[in-house]
Amino acid sequence: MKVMDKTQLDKLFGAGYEVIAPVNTLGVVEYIKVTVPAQIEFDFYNSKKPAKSAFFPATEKMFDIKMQDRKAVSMDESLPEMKDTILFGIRPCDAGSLTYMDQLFNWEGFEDPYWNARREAVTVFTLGCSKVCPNSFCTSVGGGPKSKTNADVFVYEVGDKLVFEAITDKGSAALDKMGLEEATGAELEAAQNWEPAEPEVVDLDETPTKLDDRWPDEHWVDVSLRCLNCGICTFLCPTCHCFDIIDYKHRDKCARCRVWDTCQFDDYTVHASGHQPRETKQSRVRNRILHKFNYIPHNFDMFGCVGCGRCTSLCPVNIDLIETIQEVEK
Amino acid sequence: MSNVDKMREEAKKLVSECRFVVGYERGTFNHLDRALIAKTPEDVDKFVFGPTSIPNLTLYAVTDFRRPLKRGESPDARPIGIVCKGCDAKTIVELVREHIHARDQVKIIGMPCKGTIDPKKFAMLYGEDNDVKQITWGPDGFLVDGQAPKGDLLAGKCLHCKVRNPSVTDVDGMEQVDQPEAAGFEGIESFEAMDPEDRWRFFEGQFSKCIRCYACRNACPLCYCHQCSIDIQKPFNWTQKFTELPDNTFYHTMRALHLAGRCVDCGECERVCPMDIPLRLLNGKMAKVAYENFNIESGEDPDRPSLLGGCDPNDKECFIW
Ligand code: SF4
Ligand code: SF4
Ligand code: SF4
Ligand code: SF4
Repeated sequence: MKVMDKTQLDKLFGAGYEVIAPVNTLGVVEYIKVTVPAQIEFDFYNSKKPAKSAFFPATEKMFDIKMQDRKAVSMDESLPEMKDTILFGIRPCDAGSLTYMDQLFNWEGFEDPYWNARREAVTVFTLGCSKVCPNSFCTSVGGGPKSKTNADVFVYEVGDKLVFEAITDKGSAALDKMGLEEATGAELEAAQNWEPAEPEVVDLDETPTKLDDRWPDEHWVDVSLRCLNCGICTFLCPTCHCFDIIDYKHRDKCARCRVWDTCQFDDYTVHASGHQPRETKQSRVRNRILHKFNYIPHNFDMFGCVGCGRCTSLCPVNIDLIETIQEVEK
Repeated sequence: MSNVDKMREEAKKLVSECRFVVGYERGTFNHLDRALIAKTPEDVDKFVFGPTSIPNLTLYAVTDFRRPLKRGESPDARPIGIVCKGCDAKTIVELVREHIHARDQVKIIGMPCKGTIDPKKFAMLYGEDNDVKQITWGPDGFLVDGQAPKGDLLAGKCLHCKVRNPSVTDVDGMEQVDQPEAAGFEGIESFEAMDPEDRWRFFEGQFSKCIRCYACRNACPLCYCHQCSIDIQKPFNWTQKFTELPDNTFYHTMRALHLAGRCVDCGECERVCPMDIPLRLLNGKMAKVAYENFNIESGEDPDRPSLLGGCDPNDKECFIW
């Protein structure tokens, strides 16, 4: 294990990598590219915007389209130009979500070049959680504050110091380039014996099977009546990945882009005919919850939720995920 | 009888004659009660009211819960009952004068209110993960688990409120509360005094954060359009779904303009915004413009047409005439 002082964060930047790290932008903690250590935020439970935005930005160009006389004459794929990047300070739950996202974006032989380009360029530095996030239940869905899933490097916060543990070769290569000292003595011991507080356990093991026959509306009407059908719970969920594809046009410039979309919106699932098969609130809330706790478990053999608690904490009308599941399971 | 008991008693009477009565229940948050769409007297037993009864429930008077009608079936013509604070009752006035509801289609249980908390201030003072059980009204302000709060918790909108005792209600006999003097357009004036460049930079920063979840619009009871202009993509779109500054700016400008002189400052848009964008500044500025130019205040006089829904030949802008 390696160690450095929090004041030496410039070593992150000295290794020839670009750095994406948690930044507090006017009250919103999100993962964006940083150039100086002072931008990096440490004092947060979890970021408001999940770290998925580092791999799957809210707006991403897919194709450049050349126009002539208002007609498209050519269309070229536009892949993100990625330099080797350190994604520093991502929480274990967000790192955990990459297991599902990697499979989803490479499902049944289809490989998403945009996701993969970013994913391959990134070395993940997971930062262990020293405090329990409100409404989280990560340990109930296979994660936890010290989960090393998908981490290339695991970072322990020990007082004013950061202790780095290489998990993969990619991780140790990055640590080597940073030129850190070997951790010894008290710091090493503190990291090795670190036992963070964990959220309360919720029993979700049977949930995917229990939800099998919960499709009928009657189970969903009451739990969804007050829903606003805003996109908060889905846009800000680390495992939500839906996007829409739209063209940006300006004079003779045009780009085909993908933008985050959400099943909570009423223009989602509209057919070309204008027919909307998912018309009601209950059907949209049902889709969100069944997707994460029934369809993904059946298709990918894992939960579609990493238990970060964001959807519950940020829902403006207090639609509490766990409470809803328990209500529907009854 | 306390106001809360009275509220439950009246709601029980209404629940039998209404399609539903919407009130507040305790949810799983300590800082926010939530809507309960009550259809039986047992549901009404769960109703609560206090400084965490923040959401503007009149929203549920414009979101339709009617199921599609069977052939030959006539629509349910029963009214809707709503528990309203003063600011929420103003929304009803606005909805009535915009002909969204007939006044007798809405039964208002008007609740005198000593001000609600601002959940964001609460989280700042007590931490996001606190073990506070309940926030109540004491004789001089809020009590947090029975103790004086660590600091100011009052929601911004409540500083400007003139209707702590609702101006319209269908229930008499509630014990009234004191009405402190309402702040004018103070917050707006300091914002107006900013250098235009700085103000633009300020909003650039704020709008850039927007993720276009439309919670602000969906939580707004006055954004009741069946199809919002922002959602219209065909045959022509005003703007796109990109969460980039130009599109975000367009969205917010458009919404602010559509709410000019109509917004009742219930503060819901700002409260629900996950990105902490100070939306009340925009709507407040529009309210000020409407007041100064057309002498109109939203939700005040039910007999006067709404600013954008009416047409007055004496209006300042007389080029049409
Ligand atoms: S559950 Fe909450 S956050 Fe999700 S769409 Fe409904 S109101 Fe919005
Ligand atoms: S469903 Fe909710 S708790 Fe689960 S990963 Fe998504 S935001 Fe987090
Ligand atoms: S922003 Fe305008 S168009 Fe959209 S719902 Fe509100 S009033 Fe209607
Ligand atoms: S609620 Fe906030 S983030 Fe969502 S659309 Fe409105 S301003 Fe943007």
